[in-house]
Amino acid sequence: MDDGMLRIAVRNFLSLKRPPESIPVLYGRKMLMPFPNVSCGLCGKCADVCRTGAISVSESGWEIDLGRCISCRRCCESCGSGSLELIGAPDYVLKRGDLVFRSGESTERDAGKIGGDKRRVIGRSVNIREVDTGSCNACEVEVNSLSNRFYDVERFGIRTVASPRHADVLLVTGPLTSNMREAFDRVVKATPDPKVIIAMGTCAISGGPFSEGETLGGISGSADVDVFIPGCPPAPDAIIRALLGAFGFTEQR
Amino acid sequence: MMYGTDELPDIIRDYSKRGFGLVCMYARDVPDGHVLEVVMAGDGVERITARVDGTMYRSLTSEIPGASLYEREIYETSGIYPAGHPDMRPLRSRSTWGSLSGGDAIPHNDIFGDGIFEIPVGPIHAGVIGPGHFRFSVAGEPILMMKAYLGYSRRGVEKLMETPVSYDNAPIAERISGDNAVAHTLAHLQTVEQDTEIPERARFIRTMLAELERIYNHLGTMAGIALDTALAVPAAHGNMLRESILRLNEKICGHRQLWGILRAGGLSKDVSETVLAEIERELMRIKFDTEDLAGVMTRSPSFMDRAETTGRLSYEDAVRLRAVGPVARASGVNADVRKMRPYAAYDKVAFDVPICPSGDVYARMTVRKREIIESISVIIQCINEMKDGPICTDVKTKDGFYAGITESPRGETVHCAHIEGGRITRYKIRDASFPNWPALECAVIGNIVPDFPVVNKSFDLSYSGNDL
Repeated sequence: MDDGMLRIAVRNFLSLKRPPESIPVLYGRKMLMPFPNVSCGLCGKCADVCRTGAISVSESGWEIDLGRCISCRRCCESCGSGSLELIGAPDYVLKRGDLVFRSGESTERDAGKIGGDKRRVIGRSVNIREVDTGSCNACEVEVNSLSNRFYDVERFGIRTVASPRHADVLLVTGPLTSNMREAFDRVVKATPDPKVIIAMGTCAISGGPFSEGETLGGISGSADVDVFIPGCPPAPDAIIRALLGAFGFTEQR
Repeated sequence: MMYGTDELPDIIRDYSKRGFGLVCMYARDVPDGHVLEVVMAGDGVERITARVDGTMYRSLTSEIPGASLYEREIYETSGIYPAGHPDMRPLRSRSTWGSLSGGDAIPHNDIFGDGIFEIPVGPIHAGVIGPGHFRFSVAGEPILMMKAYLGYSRRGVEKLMETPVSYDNAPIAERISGDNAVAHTLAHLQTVEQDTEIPERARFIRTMLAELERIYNHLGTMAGIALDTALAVPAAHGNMLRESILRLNEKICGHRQLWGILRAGGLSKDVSETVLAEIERELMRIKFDTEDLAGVMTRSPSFMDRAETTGRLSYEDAVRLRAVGPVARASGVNADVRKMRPYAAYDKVAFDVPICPSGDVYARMTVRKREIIESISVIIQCINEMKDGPICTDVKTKDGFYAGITESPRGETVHCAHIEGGRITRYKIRDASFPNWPALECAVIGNIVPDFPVVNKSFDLSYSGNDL
């Protein structure tokens, strides 16, 4: 064996600071979203600078669609009165409507789990096929990061497989371009039932910044989405929290 | 000045003699028809405009091979036909495919004989990467021909950029190719900022961000090459190094891919001294670990057996196809935008441009490894020379033609903007992957099919950047 490789192996073995992050560390971070506090005067500046139309301000109140937000934070910078704050957002929701938050209403979302039948069949071994429907490859960077030593999703029984025919879960990224539509339909058909379809990232949920382009504006129109993971792109720890929560891995721990 | 399309080959050859190279070519609508715009870059950037009579002109490809892709693109987007083009395979659009092959099917490779088989791959690949379709023609194991059919990531980004100049288009530019966000945004900002003097501190920080991006991309590629040659320990090690850079990115600007910090006129927020000190400390560790990683890989006979002489791109092919970036530098082409036309603070830092002559997977890995070391040195210089000062200034955007060219981790990235009446009327983006895909088609010939993933990973091309 090569001495360099041996050195790395010995160092990793002896090190007390093991890279894989524990559940408390992963749950210690959270996804953020802009939300107004009580001092908001509904001036509408934030809605004007929003490139994706995620924020809408009317007389009835302030509203953000996290499924359209690309986390560019231009809204927070534009706010003159400093009333937009970053607060914790849910890592995943099961219904598209739950991603819309209004001022004056609760921002808490009941985490929930996917349907019992699907969960029973899939059990504790989740085989994921990642499907890129035209994303900008930042989501791919984060999905690839899931398997590095810091996150190491395989310890939770979550695995990335090479073909949709081997998969239980389709993790879909990208706004679903018109060129990709037929391929996506065939991937959904090729995945054995019962399957779980996860829309990961703003593009897959709503088309995000590309909803005006040559896309179908997200995958909701072409497939039954079970889980929505907001974020542009969602951080690997957020993806892990979403998967653990949606498949109910946390309750038996 | 307006030329005729027949004069173009002579003019382009003329510029080539003076050290200019073709970086971009596109069609543009004018009130009474279309014009071809050819952008050449050398010491400066020159634009050649030629009027198209009707919707057809004589193809330049037979005389200037680098123009081939652009002419196919022009036909698909503007309907202007290059008569006499040798290879009019569809580039991105699915609807044109139907009209060419009589159905929504991808044409078979143009190669026939006993024992020759065709392997279709994609658009859903086995790895976590973008969508693209490949057709391999093989006789036994060796690849006789490989054709890439891309365009699955076509989102219409160029059209989305055609807005009034007062719009903040940086969020779109960041999402052209997510892992080359800084390079794309800097190129876009060059077209908006034009002659505006950017504060010095902002320029140093921009340089630092661009180099951090280069480091994490190259570390990811090295880890990918290790994984594809079945070296699990170096692959895990490389991915860990990359993750530490991504976490550093998050500390700097709150986003793991460095999105959201670049603005027209400078930066949206400053980087504090404590973060700068941490970057310096972390990078010194990464420098030693990268040397370690490369050493472990190159001392392994199984790796060298897979990497050396695999996927060779000759110097002649790299020049002919106008390959860019680390791919071209691994084939002996000395080309780097950071040296030729320094932007940000590249004129204030000293660095080498590593070049390898052999053009194989090993050369591309070596170039990337040495670029990581150079990038770390650039960042340390930036941190040392940075002085306190403003980080943002007001920007005045004038009408006219402006080009922004930067060196992304994948190579030369070009953004061209035509601004009329305070509005962008035509925006053209050329990612570094665009001219490198034909180079990949060229490099895999004669290699065995199982080596294709290694060759592909060593090129590290972007699907979304190519398709736009």
